[in-house]
Amino acid sequence: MKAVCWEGKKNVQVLSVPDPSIINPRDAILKITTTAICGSDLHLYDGYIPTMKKGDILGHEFMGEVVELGSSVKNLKKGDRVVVPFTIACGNCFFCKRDLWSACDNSNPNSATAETLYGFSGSGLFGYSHMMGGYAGGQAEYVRVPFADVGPVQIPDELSDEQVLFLSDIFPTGYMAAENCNIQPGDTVAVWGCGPVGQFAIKSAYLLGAERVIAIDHIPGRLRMAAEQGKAETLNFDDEHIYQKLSEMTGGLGPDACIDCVGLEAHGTTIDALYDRAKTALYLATDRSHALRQAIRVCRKGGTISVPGVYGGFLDKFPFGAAFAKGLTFKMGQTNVHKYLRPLLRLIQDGRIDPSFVITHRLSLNDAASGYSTFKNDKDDCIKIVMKPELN
Amino acid sequence: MNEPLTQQVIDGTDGVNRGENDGLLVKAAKHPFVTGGAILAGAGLAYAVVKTIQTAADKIAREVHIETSITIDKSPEELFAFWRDFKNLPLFMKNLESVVELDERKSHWVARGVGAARVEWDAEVYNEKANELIAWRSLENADVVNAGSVRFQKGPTGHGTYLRVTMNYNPPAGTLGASIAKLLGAGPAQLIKEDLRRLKQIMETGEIATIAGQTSGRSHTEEDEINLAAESDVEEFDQDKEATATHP
Repeated sequence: MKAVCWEGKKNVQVLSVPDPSIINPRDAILKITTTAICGSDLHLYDGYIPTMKKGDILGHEFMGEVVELGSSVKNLKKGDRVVVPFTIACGNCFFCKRDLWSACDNSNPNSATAETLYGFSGSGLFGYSHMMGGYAGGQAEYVRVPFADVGPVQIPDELSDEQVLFLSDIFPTGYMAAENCNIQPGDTVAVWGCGPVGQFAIKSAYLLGAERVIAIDHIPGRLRMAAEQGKAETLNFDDEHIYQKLSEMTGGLGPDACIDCVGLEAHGTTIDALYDRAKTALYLATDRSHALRQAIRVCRKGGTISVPGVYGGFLDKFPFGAAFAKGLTFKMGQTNVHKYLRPLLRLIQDGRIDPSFVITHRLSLNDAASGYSTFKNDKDDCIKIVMKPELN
Repeated sequence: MNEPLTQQVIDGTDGVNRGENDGLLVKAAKHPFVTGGAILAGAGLAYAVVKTIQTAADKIAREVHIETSITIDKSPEELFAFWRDFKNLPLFMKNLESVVELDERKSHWVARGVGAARVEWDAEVYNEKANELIAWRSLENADVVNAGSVRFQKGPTGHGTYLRVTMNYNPPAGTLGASIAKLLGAGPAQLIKEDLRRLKQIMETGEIATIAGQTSGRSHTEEDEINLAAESDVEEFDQDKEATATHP
C-alpha cells in the first residue's frame, strides 16, 4: 500500500510499504477513506518531537471502512464506516474507567521511555513517535487499529466523511479545551492560535455558553475564518499589543479563560519570543511558550488557562509567579477523545455544527509531501488539509 | 500448552468472550519483542555478572536484590490464581521458556540462554498464603541460585491490587554467568518492571500491546536495528534505578 512516511526533519515521502495485518485479537484493519494532516504533525515535521524513526508512518486523524477484524472484536463488522480516536485506549484500566482515555495504562508498548521523561506514560497514539508507542499512523491506504472494540465510532450513512473526520482529534480537542474553561454565563474566552483546533475551541466555547470569544493570531486567513465562521472578535498580534488590547476589551478585568491552541512552536514578535527562538535553536530549551506566557499574564484573577496545544519538554521563563499571584487554574493534556466521540457526533447529526468548515485543501494521498510543505509555510490560506487515497 | 489455562483465567475475570483468541494471544506472547521477561532466570544476572567481572580477582558472585511493584485492576484472588499456576509465568516473563509443576510445591524452570543454551533449575514454594503471598526458592544444583516472592495487597477502593515482587539471585561466575549477562543486556529491575507491565496488560485487556510485526517504511534489517536500539534504551534508562534497586 501507499503510506506517508517520516523520513527525517522536513522530509515526508509517500512510500510503498507492506499492508498492515491483524496482530492482536482486539485489532481491526481499516481501509482509509479520508485522512488529514494535523497541526501537531507539523511538530513532527519540524523535528520537535523526540523518538521519531525514519520510515514511521504518519497520521492520527483518519476514518475508513472496516476490512478485517481480530477475533475479539464483536461490536464491528466488515464494511462498517468508522472514525478512530487518535488516542489508543484499552477501555479496561483505571484511567479508561474514569474517562481519562488519553492516560490509558495499557496501550503504549514503550511506556518505559515516556516514564523516564515524564514520570508516567500516557496512552499510545497513532503515528506520533516511539515514545508514544510507535504505532503506524493513518495517512495511508490501510491502518491497523488496536483495541478496535473500544475506540472506533460508527458513522451513519447520511453524514459525509468530511463532516465527521475531525471527531478523530481536532473537534474533541477544541471542545475539551473549551470544556476545561468551566465556562459560566457572561464569560469572555480568549483563544490563542486560529488553526483548526483554535477554530473548534472558538465554536465550542460558544456552544458551552461563552458570551464573547476573542481570537488571536497573525495569519489573515485564519483570523478571517475565526471571525466569519466562529463569530469571534479577532486580534492580530503583529498589529496589536495583546495584553493592553485584551485588558481594554474586557474593561481592565482580563479574559475569564484563556486557551492556548498554539503549543510548543509559538511565534511572536516580542522579546521573549525571540529569546525562545534563540534558546531552542541552541538546544538550551526545547519548547517555545510565548503564547502561554501571554495568556498567563493577561488572564483575569482566578481565571482558567486551558492548554490543548502540544508541549513536549521544558519551558523557559515560565511566569509561575504571575499564575500563583492571580490564583489561576490550569487544565491541559492530550484529549480524552473517546469521551467526546458520541456526544459530538450527536451535535453534528443535530446540525448544530458542521466541522467540515475548516477544510481549505483536498489532496490525494500521493500529494502528502507538498501538503505538509503548504501547511507548514501557511501557503494559500491553508488551514486544514484532507487527503483521500482514492484520489491517487 | 499454556493457552487453555491463560484463557480460563482471562475469560473468568473480564467476562469477555475470547474463546477464539488463543492463537493470537500466544503468538503475541511468544514474539521475541513482546514476550515477557526472564524475571526469575535472568533478570538479575546481568548486573550480578558485571559485578563479578569487576571483582574478577576473587571470583565471588554477589547477591542481587530487586524490589518492584505495580497496580493491576483485578482482585488479589484473580491475580494470585494466575500467578500460582506457574505455567502462566512464561506468558509475561521475557526469557522464561517454561515452568512445569512437578508436584504441589515443586516445579522445574527453564529459561533461554544464548543461542540454543538453556538455564534450568528446580524450585519449591516455601511459603504461601492464599491470595496474599507466594514465595519460592531454587533447590540444590540450580544453574542459578535464586529466590523470589510476590505479595498481593488489595488497594484502596477502586484501585485494584498492588503487586510487590522481590527477587534475589546468587548467580554463578565464569562463562555461564557471562553468557547470561550477554543475553539479558538490559538492567534487571527494568526487565522485571516490563514483565509486570505485560502481566497487567494480559490481566486487564487480554492481550499484550505491541507494534512488533506492524508495517512501516523500513526494511526488515532497519526494523531489527530499531528493536535492538529500543532494548538498549531501556538499559540506559534503568541505570539510576539499578543503583538503588541493587545492593550487593
